Amino acid sequence: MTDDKTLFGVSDGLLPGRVVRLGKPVDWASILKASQDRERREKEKRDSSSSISDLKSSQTSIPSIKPKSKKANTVIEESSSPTDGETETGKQRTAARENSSSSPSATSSEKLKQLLAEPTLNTEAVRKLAWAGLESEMRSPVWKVLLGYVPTNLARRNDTLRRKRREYQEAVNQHYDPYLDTKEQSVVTNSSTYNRIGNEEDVTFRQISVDIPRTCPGQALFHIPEVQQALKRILYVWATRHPASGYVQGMNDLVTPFLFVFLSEYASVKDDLSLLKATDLSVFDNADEALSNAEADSYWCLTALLNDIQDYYTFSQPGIQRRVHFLRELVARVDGNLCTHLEDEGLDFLQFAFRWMNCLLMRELPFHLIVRVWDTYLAETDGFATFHVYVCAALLVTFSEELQDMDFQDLVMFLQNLPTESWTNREIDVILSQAYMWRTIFGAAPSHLQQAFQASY
Amino acid sequence: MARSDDEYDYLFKVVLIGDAGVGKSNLLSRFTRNEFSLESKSTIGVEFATRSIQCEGKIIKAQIWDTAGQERYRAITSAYYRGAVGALLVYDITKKDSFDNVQRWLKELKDHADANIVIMLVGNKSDLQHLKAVTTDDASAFAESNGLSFIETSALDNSNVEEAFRSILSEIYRLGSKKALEKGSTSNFAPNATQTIVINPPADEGKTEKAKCC
Ligand SMILES: Nc1nc2c(ncn2[C@@H]2O[C@H](COP(=O)(O)OP(=O)(O)OP(=O)(O)O)[C@@H](O)[C@H]2O)c(=O)[nH]1
Ligand SMILES: [Mg+2]
Repeated sequence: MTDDKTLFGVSDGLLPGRVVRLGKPVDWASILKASQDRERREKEKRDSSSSISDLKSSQTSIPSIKPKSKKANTVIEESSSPTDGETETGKQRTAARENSSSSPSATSSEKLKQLLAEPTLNTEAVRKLAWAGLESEMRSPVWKVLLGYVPTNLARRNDTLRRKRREYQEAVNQHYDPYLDTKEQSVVTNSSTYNRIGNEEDVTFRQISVDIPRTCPGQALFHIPEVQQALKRILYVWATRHPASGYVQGMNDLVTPFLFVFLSEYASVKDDLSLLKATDLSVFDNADEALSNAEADSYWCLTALLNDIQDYYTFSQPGIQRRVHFLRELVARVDGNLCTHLEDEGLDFLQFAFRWMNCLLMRELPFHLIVRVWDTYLAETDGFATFHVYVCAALLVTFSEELQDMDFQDLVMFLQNLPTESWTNREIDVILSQAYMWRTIFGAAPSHLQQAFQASY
Repeated sequence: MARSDDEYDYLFKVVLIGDAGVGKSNLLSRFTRNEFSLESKSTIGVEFATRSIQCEGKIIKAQIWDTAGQERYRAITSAYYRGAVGALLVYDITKKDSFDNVQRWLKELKDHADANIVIMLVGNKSDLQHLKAVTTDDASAFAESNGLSFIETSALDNSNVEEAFRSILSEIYRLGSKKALEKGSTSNFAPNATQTIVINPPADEGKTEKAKCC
């Protein structure tokens, strides 16, 4: 064991109760204190809700989250000691927030509106506010600036949007053959016309066509034919222009948060959920404009997103394999018992976490929470490619206790269908702050964990 | 670790392979949960489900691994062929390309699965007769010349789904016991005894009725 080489010199993870020996004297308490303080400052700034974990929970597991009866406007006291009662306080704060009529995010929206109206955007300030979650009305403009789709210079923003939308339209005209659809139809309806095996474009088009009706089956919005056509064009044009990976199943999932958020800008509905339930375009005052703008914006934002994680989808998907490896290392350190149990049962991380990377947890979390998680990812500088892995670790460790009672088969069944349907922002906030905490600890440390991750670039 | 509701004599690992969208996941959900969905999500990576059936007085537990169909995923999914004793190679009777690709899937199995894996060719979506693009004759001739068994199924109207799984499981069982007899062994006839092929000593009691006999 190379205790003096690695910061976390216990190869089988930090088991509770074990002494952590460090090569250079590292003041654990102060590292942790610093991260907690930072965490708390961050929290206070955005008046968020979740708890600050103590040393023990950062090493083992975050407290399991149980629904708690809501107490409106609970008087909130800052927990003076980070090692006791923090969970309770966190929950109460959450409850208070969710019940409070004067929502703190209302002020966040106001602030964001002001920030967005400044001649040059203070991106850092926007990031800070976005991290804690955005009000739905702010998502569309904020996501666009955070993805770098529109410039920080206010005067140029509208021009850029116009130009980008026009460019997308040109790309569609250039790459998307409207006859592809009719060909596909004739293939289906008359087998004798089938004679186009092996043509790359057709293979891509057929694959996308197979996946469109299977995209977000739970949300009516994505079953509106015009919305499906938009999805199809976005994916097809993206695939054609990115031949190194081409279309890979699961990318269809990744477009949907964009399409939803950008469409909601034009929808005359009272809340997010009613847009997801829309069965036709009557929710839009000007459906043509809404769709064509949201389609173009979604295309460019998808492009920006996938740009960061291109190696997830190229041959043999090396980016995913590396992230899963990193996830395993992380879990080994924060919850050694869980990691050991999974491996004793013969469960390889790749088996369950492959999809977590490939679809960025879109298959594991309810749609409205994915949108919330993306607020944070976009606020992070490397959210989808790095912070996401910490979130995956926090998600897995949430179920640590249950998982450690399961055998191989139950583990697989459980992990391929995580019980998150009834989750709310509360559970997500806990996971995000846990992830933040671990990133603060591990991301800054020159541990081999970090090196292993960076060496892969 | 076997609990009373989880007793079996044999555990067989079977993989479901074939092009994306041919209906692998629905065949599996039909067989294990009697469910079908027109809008099931695409499979990313691998998933599995299990069901136990009785065959010649033995309880056979099938651990069925459903894989992603898209070519890009093969590097990931082919790792899970190891230890499988059976494969259902599915195509869509309305999509000729999915049948044309069967050849490539066979090669995948040849490259990554155990040599004596039992393979069954499955033409799914037989409810769509009016759209049929691969004739039964063509498929059955292909199967015969490649030494595969063959069946047409519909996960939608639940025709032949039960039969498909039962017949491959009993074929595996019969081949296995025959081989075991030849070897003079009664305990383990799995191609290799990894954790996925668990052969419990036949228990005389505590067996629960899982399904009708095959
Ligand atoms: N008509 C008909 N449709 C079916 C049948 N089986 C599956 N489908 C439909 O075909 C589509 C694809 O089915 P899946 O089971 O998801 O296909 P898959 O082979 O698992 O696809 P991948 O996971 O992408 O590899 C879905 O819309 C199903 O509802 C069938 O027997 N008849
Ligand atoms: Mg599937």
